[in-house]
Amino acid sequence: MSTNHHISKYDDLILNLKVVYARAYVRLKGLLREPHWSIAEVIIPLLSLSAYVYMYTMLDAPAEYTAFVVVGGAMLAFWSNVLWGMSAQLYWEKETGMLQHYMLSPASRMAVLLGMAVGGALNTTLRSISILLVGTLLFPIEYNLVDANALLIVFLLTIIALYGMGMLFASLFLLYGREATHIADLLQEPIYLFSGIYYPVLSSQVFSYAVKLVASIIPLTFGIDAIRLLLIMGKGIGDVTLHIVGLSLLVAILLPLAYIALRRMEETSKRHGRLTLRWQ
Amino acid sequence: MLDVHASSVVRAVVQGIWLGWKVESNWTNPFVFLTYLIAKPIASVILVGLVFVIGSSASGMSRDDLFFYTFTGAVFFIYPATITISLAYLVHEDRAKYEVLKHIYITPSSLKPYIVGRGVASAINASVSVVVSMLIGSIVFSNYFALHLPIDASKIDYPALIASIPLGVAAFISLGVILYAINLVTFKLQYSLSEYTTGILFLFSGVVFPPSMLPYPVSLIGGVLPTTHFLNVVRASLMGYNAYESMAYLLLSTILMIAVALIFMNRVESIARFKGTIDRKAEY
Repeated sequence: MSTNHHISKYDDLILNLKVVYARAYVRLKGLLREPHWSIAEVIIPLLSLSAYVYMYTMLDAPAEYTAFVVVGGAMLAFWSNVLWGMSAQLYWEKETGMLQHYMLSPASRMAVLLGMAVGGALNTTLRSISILLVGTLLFPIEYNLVDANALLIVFLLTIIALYGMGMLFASLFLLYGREATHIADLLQEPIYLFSGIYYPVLSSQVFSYAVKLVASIIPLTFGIDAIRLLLIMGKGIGDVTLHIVGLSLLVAILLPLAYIALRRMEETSKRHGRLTLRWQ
Repeated sequence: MLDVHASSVVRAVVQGIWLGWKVESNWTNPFVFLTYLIAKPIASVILVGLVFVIGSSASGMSRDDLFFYTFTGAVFFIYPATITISLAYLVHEDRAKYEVLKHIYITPSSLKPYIVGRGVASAINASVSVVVSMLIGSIVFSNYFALHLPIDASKIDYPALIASIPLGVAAFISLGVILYAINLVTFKLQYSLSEYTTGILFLFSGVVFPPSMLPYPVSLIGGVLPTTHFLNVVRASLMGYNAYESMAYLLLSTILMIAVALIFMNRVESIARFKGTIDRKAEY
């Protein structure tokens, strides 16, 4: 007796949407399950960004630099989430023995990653807003927002591009063993350096075009620069056209690349017997 | 009898250093490890330097003495950051990840010499990062941004500089022992605890700006942190100034930190045995 196990495209879509929801749900539930982590992720960036605010004060830099630091510190939460909550996530799933269950399920691996990204982005947006609010209360900051729609467009594009990068890294991290945490760690400070968390990069005279070009590969660079221009400097959409084009290009490149990388890395990991390998 | 005990303690410390070196370095080939050891601290030092360059170019005020202050602060902050982070993660690594804590604990040597050994291994790694960051950072800022460190090699107070390193390292290892002890009786705190600690030290110890700029009484916090005195001694000795007052404070804060760490660790160890947290595994 044979049974037809063919799944229609519609059923497949519903299944994957459920997977996206389920994986995102874990991220949001985590906010309540470990509230001290959420509190720490607001307070810890505020400690270091406060040090840079005082450093600018010591140097007698113009007042908008304080706002630059607070906005950069708020956006930093996304990079931390992309790095530790996306890139290194599949490695951790492997360490805790969960990865094989994802691989055995009929769901698309991209749906799992998308769920992680959606949940992580929502969760981190709350933290990022909290950092911005507390930073604004602590330091004298003046915002000058004239084009809210442009800010929303830039923010969404930045998040999509960033999490696209996270999805790409997650698949690359599938191959890693113990080195995963070190590589993620290594991607922290150099990215802070190039993306301009605490200073403007693209609109600064200090950096050469070559440095700006390299920095533009990181979605955070375009995103933070555009958000600062719109939120602090009172610019409009016409002033951030280049940023929008750059971010759109990154989205168009990173998402398909993540899909291809995930398939390749999964295949390679299976061939090398690395999918369930722990402690190596 | 005392000699036997002392030699067993020394052996445990040396084994801790050896194991620490192995765990921290053998996850990859020597070239990648060296890149990791150097790239991360250099990036943080250059980041601080760039904040200085951009801030001073915006205000039109560029002073070599202020650059010296922030640059040396960022470079020598590598010691407390590396040591406290590695010791704060150690419980999780040994207890949950590799499940070896219970085996270490039941050996005749105490856990404490082992932790000290792991701290010393981190301090050795930090020393490499400090030397390379100092060299590369000063070359980058001198050549590309015309920012020069006003250090005259003939005026450096070498005895004070050399003495400050083991004193500072002892204080930071003691701080790491306190974090270790907290993690021994708690779960899932290792990441936030180490980040809180380095964040607090970075803000209040006068790493990139003088603590006196902080509002009163917050500005007083730096006075009780060994990091503040360690950086003061390092800066004074590099400039050839009298470093002995800061050295006295560093010595005092180090002795205090060691005493607190020992008392705290002894107390927590018995609580951990009572609660059964030494071999309890938290998976997440």
